[in-house]
Amino acid sequence: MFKDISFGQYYPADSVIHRLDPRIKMLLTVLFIVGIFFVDSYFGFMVTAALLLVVILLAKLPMMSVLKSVRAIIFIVIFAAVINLFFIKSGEVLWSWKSLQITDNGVHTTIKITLRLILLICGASLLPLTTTPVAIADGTESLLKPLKYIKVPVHDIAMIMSIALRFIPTLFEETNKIIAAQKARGASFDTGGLIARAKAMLPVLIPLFVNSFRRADELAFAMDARCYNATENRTKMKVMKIDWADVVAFFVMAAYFAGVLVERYAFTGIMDGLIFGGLV
Amino acid sequence: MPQIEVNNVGYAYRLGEGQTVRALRGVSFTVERGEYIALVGMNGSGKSTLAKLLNGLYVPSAGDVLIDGVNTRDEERTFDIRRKVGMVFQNPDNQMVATIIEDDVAFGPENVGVPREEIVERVNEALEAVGMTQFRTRSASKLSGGQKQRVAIAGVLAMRPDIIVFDESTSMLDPEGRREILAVARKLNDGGITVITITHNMDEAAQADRIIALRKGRIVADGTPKEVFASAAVAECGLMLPPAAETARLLAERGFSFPDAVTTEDELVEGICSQSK
Amino acid sequence: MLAIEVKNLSYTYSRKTPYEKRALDNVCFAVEEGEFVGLIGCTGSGKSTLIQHLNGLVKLQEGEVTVKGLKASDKNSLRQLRFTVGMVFQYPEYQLFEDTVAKDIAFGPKNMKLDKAEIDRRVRRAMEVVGLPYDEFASRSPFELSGGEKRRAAIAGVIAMEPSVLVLDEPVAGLDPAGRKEILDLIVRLKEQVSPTVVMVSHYMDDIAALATRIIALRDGKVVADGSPKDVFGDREKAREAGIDLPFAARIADRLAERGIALDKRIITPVELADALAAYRDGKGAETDGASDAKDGADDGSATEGGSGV
Repeated sequence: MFKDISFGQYYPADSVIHRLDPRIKMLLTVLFIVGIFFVDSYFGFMVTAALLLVVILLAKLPMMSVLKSVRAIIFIVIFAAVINLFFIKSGEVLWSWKSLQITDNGVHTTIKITLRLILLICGASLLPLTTTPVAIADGTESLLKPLKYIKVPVHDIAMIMSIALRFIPTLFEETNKIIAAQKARGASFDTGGLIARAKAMLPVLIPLFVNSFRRADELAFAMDARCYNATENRTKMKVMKIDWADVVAFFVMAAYFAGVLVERYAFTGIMDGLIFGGLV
Repeated sequence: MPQIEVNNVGYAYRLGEGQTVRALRGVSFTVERGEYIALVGMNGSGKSTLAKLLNGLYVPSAGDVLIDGVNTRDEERTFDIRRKVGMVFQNPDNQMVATIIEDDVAFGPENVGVPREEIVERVNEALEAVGMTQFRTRSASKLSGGQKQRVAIAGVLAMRPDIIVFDESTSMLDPEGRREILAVARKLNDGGITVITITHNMDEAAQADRIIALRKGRIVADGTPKEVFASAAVAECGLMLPPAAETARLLAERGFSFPDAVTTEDELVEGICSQSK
Repeated sequence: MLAIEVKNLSYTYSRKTPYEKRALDNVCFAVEEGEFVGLIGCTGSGKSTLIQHLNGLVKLQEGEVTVKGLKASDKNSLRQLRFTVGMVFQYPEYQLFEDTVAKDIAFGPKNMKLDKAEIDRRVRRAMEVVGLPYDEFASRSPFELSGGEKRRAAIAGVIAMEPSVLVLDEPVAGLDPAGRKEILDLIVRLKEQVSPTVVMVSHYMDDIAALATRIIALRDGKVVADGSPKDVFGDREKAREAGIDLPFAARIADRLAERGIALDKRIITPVELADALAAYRDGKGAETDGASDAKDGADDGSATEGGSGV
């Protein structure tokens, strides 16, 4: 049932991208996500794609690992594309059948939205692919540090995050096992109405919950046995520090972001016109 | 002074509505530095409870547990004791905190505030000792059961413990994983660490220097494997003889005689050869 | 009559991706009704993929699996196939979910759409066979049982479907010696009373030697040995090549052979070993020539094969 759990899975490699400070990577990811919503020209998408490609190559990631995360949202992409293709009525009509019609504006918007979603997911997946869950948790803890002063238990939150990430593959595997076992007793999960299906999940969910409590119990013992909470002055093996590579990465991203804004508002459509001529 | 002193310990826990279960009663024994002890008994005999009393995860309801003379009741010393007495649990999946192997091994030293450079050193050493160095930056979820348990042992070693308690750490592993873990335990013991292994695998127990057998929360035998397997305690505890001892018994029924009790393969082979030549 | 027929079965995980992994490679075998098959192989050899093919939990890619005349490729009989092959997974107690033992055991029969009286009869019978008396256990919560009892309750949940083929994946994993013995005895009882054909996956060669009438060994998705336990363990060279551990008694026999006490290679249980050694000792008085000594030992050993069983 859950075959593909590769989305968000760390891909180990020794690369300059992997070594970037997790806090910087999180900031860059946010900047990238915001930035791509301002991109509205084919030129902009080309530059974005080129940037991503460089990062992927630098990170020594196989293309498949990045594209896999796109596969996870392929339905959303198709849905968005179809809606835009048929519901944008402005512009020159290219094709029509009964009340359905496709216009040139519709085609352009559809292509752009599809590109935007795909690039967005590829870009966002680079963070978990190149950053260990512990580093993400540490980064979060560090970024949230100011909240400590208003008594938010920042470290505990980070610990909970990191444990949750750690147990995702384990729980997926367990869910699959329980589903197989109940199927072997004749359970079916894909027949009947919504309520029947929800009810059919109970033989899976109940054991999953019971087992999770057992796991939590054992994990708590294991953490206690390894002196969790022994001291306020916890140390860290991996200390985050801003390196020159982080500075470079930040400036590259800042330049990209500024470029996107300039291209969109100062040179609207000009770059596309230069490159694609009358096509666009 | 013995390294571990268990004095007349009892432990009872509540099972809702005023019902209490007495998991241990009047348990006493001492352990010297460097011993290799197997703690055996059926499920429900109290052996896992006893394990958790050794590092202060549980505090006895009666009696005292002393580690190097420090009482586990002394809350201020709890973490000193846990640093000294490491524990490897049964399920390899449920004792790993971090996804990446080296991060998990570092968890213990980080908790007690070891300086950064020293953590790195300790993690290197610990991974080396269990032969997992080449996996250090990998995700633990893709390892075999035996490898996961080796990482768990490394996590304990990074605390530089004097004693390691294995709480049924091999019971979920396949024979290969079991052999891996036993080899590591043996090596650590040779290096001076006291090993206490809780098991119901008699083949494993036969390799220990000393066996303590529990039944319904009481010690029914405490001695060398030879002494314990020769006594009635094994049957009493619902345990079985290791295959070598069982075969020796079958041979005895057929007129063979073994002057010394047989517990290992070597002893069985020697015993047979000496009377078949 | 054939109970299971597996023909040219191949299976690949994550096909057409870089993570592609061939789990089964042209696996062929047939199992007669009444056989007790010990399925062995190290972790990752394809055992789990193979057994999940037997009741159609894994979709066929290449080849065919037929159980009691039901083809796994036939979608219409898939449900019937599930009920024909009882599947006890590793640590089956982690799949208990109902609030009473009886209700949990009734899950399978209910899915078979049996009438109430029949469901009740099957639940009672299954509990009886696994040794959980109905009056004592039916209304208890499965989560309050002891480890061994939980496992027996979970097995009862499979047995209540009265499958004609029973498949067990590491049925004694994690149990103490008493629990192990209980479950192994139970499996023998189930074979006699409920499911005449049994396939048991196990890492414990001593259990396989004691119970199985046939061994199928997998390695890297291929069948590397198939035959009676005596034949498979007896052919030391082939066993070593196939990566098969020997049972305790065979290991001892080999060590004794090194010391000049040659016994039958087909000894696989402690009782056989003890009998062979007794025969060797008794035969030695009559013979003085070393070479025929060894031969005698071998003859005596194979004589025990039919006699002692286990």
